[in-house]
Amino acid sequence: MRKPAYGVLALFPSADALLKAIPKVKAKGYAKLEAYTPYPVHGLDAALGLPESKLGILVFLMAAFGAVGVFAFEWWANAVNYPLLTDGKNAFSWPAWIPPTLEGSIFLGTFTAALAMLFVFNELPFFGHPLLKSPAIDEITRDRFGLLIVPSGASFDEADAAAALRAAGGAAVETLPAPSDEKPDAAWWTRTALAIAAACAVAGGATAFAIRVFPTVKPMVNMEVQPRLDAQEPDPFFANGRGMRLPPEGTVPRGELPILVANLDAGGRVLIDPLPVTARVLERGRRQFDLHCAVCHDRLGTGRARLSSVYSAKPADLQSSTMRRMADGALYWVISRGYNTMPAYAADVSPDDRWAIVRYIRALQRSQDAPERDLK
Amino acid sequence: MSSLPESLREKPLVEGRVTLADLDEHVQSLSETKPPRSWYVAVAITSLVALIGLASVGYMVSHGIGTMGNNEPVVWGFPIVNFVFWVGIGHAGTLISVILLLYRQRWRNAISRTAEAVTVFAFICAMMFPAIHIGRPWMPHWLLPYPNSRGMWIDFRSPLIWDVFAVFTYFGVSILFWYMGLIPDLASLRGRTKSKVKRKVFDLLSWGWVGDARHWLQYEKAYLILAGLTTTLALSVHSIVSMDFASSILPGWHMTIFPPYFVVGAAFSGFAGVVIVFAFVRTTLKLEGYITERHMDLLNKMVLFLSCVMTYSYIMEGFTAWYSSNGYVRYIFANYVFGDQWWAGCLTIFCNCVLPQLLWFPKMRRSVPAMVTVAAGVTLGMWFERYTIIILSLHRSYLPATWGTYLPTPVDFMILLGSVGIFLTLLLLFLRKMPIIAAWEVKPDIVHYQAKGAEVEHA
Amino acid sequence: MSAATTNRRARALWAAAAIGAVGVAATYVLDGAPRFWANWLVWFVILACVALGTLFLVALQHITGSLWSVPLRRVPERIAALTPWLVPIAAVALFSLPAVFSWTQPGADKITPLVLKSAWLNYPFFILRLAACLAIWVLSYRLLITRSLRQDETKDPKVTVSIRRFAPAFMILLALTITVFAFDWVSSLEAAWYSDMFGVYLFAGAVTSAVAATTLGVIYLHRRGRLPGVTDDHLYNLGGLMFGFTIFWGYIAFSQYLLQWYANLPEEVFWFQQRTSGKMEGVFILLMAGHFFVPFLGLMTRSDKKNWRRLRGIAIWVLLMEFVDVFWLISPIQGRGLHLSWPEAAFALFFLSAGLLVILRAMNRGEDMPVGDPFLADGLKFHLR
Repeated sequence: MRKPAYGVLALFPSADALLKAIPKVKAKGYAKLEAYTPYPVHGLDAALGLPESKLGILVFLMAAFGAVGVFAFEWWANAVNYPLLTDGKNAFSWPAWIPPTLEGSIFLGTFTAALAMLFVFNELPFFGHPLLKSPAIDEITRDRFGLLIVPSGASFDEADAAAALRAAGGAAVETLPAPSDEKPDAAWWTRTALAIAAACAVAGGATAFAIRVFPTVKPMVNMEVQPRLDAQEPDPFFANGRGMRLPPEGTVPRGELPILVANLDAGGRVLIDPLPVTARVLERGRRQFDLHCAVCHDRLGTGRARLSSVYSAKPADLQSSTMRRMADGALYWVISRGYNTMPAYAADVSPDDRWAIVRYIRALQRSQDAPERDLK
Repeated sequence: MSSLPESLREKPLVEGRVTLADLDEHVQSLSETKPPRSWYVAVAITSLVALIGLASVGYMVSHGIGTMGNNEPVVWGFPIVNFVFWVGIGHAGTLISVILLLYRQRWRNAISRTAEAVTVFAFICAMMFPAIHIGRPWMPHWLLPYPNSRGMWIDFRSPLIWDVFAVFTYFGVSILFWYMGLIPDLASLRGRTKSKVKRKVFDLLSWGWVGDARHWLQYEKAYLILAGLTTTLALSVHSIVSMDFASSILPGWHMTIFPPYFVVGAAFSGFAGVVIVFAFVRTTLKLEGYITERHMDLLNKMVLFLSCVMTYSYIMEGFTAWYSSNGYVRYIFANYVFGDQWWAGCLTIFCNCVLPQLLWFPKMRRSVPAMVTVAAGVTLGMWFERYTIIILSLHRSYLPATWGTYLPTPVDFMILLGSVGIFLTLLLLFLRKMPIIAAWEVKPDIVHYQAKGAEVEHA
Repeated sequence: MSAATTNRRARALWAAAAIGAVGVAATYVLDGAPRFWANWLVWFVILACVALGTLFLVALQHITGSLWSVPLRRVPERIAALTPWLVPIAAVALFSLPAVFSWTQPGADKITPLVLKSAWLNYPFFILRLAACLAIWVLSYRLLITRSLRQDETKDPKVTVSIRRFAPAFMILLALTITVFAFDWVSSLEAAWYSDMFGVYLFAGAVTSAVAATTLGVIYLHRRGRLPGVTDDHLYNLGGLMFGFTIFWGYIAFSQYLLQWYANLPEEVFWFQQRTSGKMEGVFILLMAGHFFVPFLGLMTRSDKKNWRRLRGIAIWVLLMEFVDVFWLISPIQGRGLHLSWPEAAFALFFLSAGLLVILRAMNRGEDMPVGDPFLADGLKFHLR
């Protein structure tokens, strides 16, 4: 069976001529018409009976989604996930989130409008459009107005349609063949796949090259490289050859009390916990313990943390009876000065925090070996 | 109609007898024929200037921010002045093609395409400045909210982050709008070309546009929606730029009128820029029939109107500075016009408020030397306005102990010059390589005014 | 419409105005001067806004030479008849100066920021500015509108030319006077506060409410068949203007709030604190939602703007929001809390019915359309593309 034609096309010299022709052609019983014009002709949509565009609804939905989405993200990022408290503002500072919200909404709305218009509602691209193969298209994009009768019904006759168009004033009447619906063959697929693979290979290679080369390129190094002494660098200027100066004899840093006791036992006798007995101290101890101690000693203090399996030294089991018997001051001394392979934490953890850790260790020990009255 | 006084009669927007095909022949052919030698010379000069600017950028990046004049207390020097300046120039294109579209002003049709091009090119220049100014230009992605190893997000409360969102959105949407307007014209270029390769390229670029009435329906709807959204966008972008300043507490920056005032200033400088471009384009490319004296007259009226609004803003700022009864604010505003760099403030006022008043005279609105002088003055004045706001406010802030002076370096000037070079190079390429008039928008006007002309002759 | 209905309407309005007047007087006696003056100023500002907004719309049409608005122009011209009535309202309002303005209160000469402003905020200059503003407004009303009414008979196109000449000058005068008005009569109530956007803020609300009032007037006349030839397309433009100025108001209001909220300066932010805390917070939220979001969402699509019923509803709502806006600006000068009770209702009754009486009388002045305007025919032919 011969495939039916795409339609019968005629060209008109002006928009007015086209608009006048449409009712005449319609009167002959051709209901399905299409028009092709060099610019949007007003009144054409009514003459052809085109439905109104639904684009607005889609754009509204996407713009609303953009607004809600960006606002929700800002709220989640800056108030929930990582609360940023600056300027004395609330975590929920909505006025400041409006500008990005607006931009997000507009971004999504505009791109939806343009892309949905082209690719969803107009179903472009259609490079196989039969009009594109006809010389008429070049006149239509310049100054001619095309009217196309689309075949409908079994009794459609091309010659009759052509006559109707001519009678309405159309010139250069021609029949557009139906678009080919050939599927791409195997060779096309091979070519396309090879091209994509080649593009991927080139892009991958370029990326690998860029990653190799660029991290070594350091622009603007003059912040890093400047005539100054960094910490612990030697300097011949001073008699002892050190770049860093030592504090004068007997100085004590602000907020720090040096531990003058020499060993653990003495520490146990001399050092006394200054903190009050409150839930806040325990909470502070828990936080500091989890931050600094739990990596090795485990969150329960068992000394069997994830690291211990890959780490040759054995962290102390804080739940052991030795540790339970050890004085508070001794624990404090160990945290401050270090013990065996455990480093000193005096530089990283403040004295009060160290005492809070000791307090928390005691709570941990009690939690794992609670007397019966605690459980009631 | 013959009884109408002369001043009430509508002048046509298309002069002379032209057909639709003539328009294509006059305008589209510009992109198909070989440009004259003078064009090549001009492009050579401007691209050389652009290269000098880019080389200076390279020098600055490799040697550090210190090669520019930025230093405490004026940490925002030329780069931010230039950024605001170029963003401002970019606004005219949007306002012409979008707001005037919504108000159904036909006269925008002939000039919209080139105005949009001005927007895109000005934005390319504008975006260069914050990029090179962030200190480590190779880490611009830190401005974006992406999950990262630092475990924290950007601060959405920061106006600078709003700026990132606004400028990127605006740039993307400007290009989108520009491209969308080009689609039907690309299809018409496809119809004109003899080369098979070019035909294929134009076919691809226009997505196989055939001018189907159903497509036009959706297309116009999308165009209007885009116009509506872009209007809001244009208002918001320069407002957000202004909030970089106005949300601080620095005297001279913290002014509630800043958002609308910046938008108006942006449109003002942009319209001035567009006047210069068209004064040059319409005679050089012989487009007087499509970009008529009436177009120039209307553009100049816009410049005049915006100058009046600018003057209002200046008055309000000066008055409120006094009315605030805040000593620091009063001082900084006095310093603008009487201080150590009084010439910057005075030049701003002269160029933006006094000079454009010439345009009240219809003769001046139609005389090319006059309009170019005014427009050039406005462009200069708007640059100095940003200079005044940014640099003069920073160098005299609250504590006299933090006062300082700002001295731009040769690198500053070369980068500024380079941005002008980039802009002009892109513009020159556009003028001879792309359809510079939106033919699908002007063609209905041709039909309209030819019909009207015939009516008048008949009468 | 028959003269009898008009008379019946007018009588009802007269009665309502009389009841309102009793309430207004009772407010002064029972609730004291501050309450009385706050309400008086609220209505002074609202009526001035509507009058100036309509003058602006008329001048805008002359400047842009837009065709669609020519057949509708008589409506804003008639609503602008409120302008001369601003003079007596302002004259009474002058007596509020010693009562509610912070710079006139005893002890103001000890507050440094107020002392530094005294060159601007003092009785003679303040009254002089008011007189100048009123003179400019009434004169502009005559130049813009009385001449246009006379054109109905003369049909002289030269009138159009000369009004078009005057319109730009009026715009400049309007910008300056409405700013002075906003700073004097609203902002200087709390004289320590300042915002240089404030004139624009009041202007945005004024034009939005003027468009709403014009829309109501157009619908009123159209339903009585007095605007033949006016179509959905004309209405669409009014809807578009209302939509546009709603966005403009939202933009200005939000920017002003954002910047002062952000900078958090004590001399500025206290003003917003008064207006966003306690019971005023509800009014603030209503203002955001009602003055911006309701008209914004309600007028978004093309068919919304052509829908006569919807447009009428939104226009009434917008005018209500103009009241909420001005109330929100002025009422907090009475101190903490929400001051909303029978005195507010009485003032609303009085000024609304009196204002409507003025407009109703003006509705019968001249032709319903500017028949002398040479562009009327073109304007009636207007179609959306």
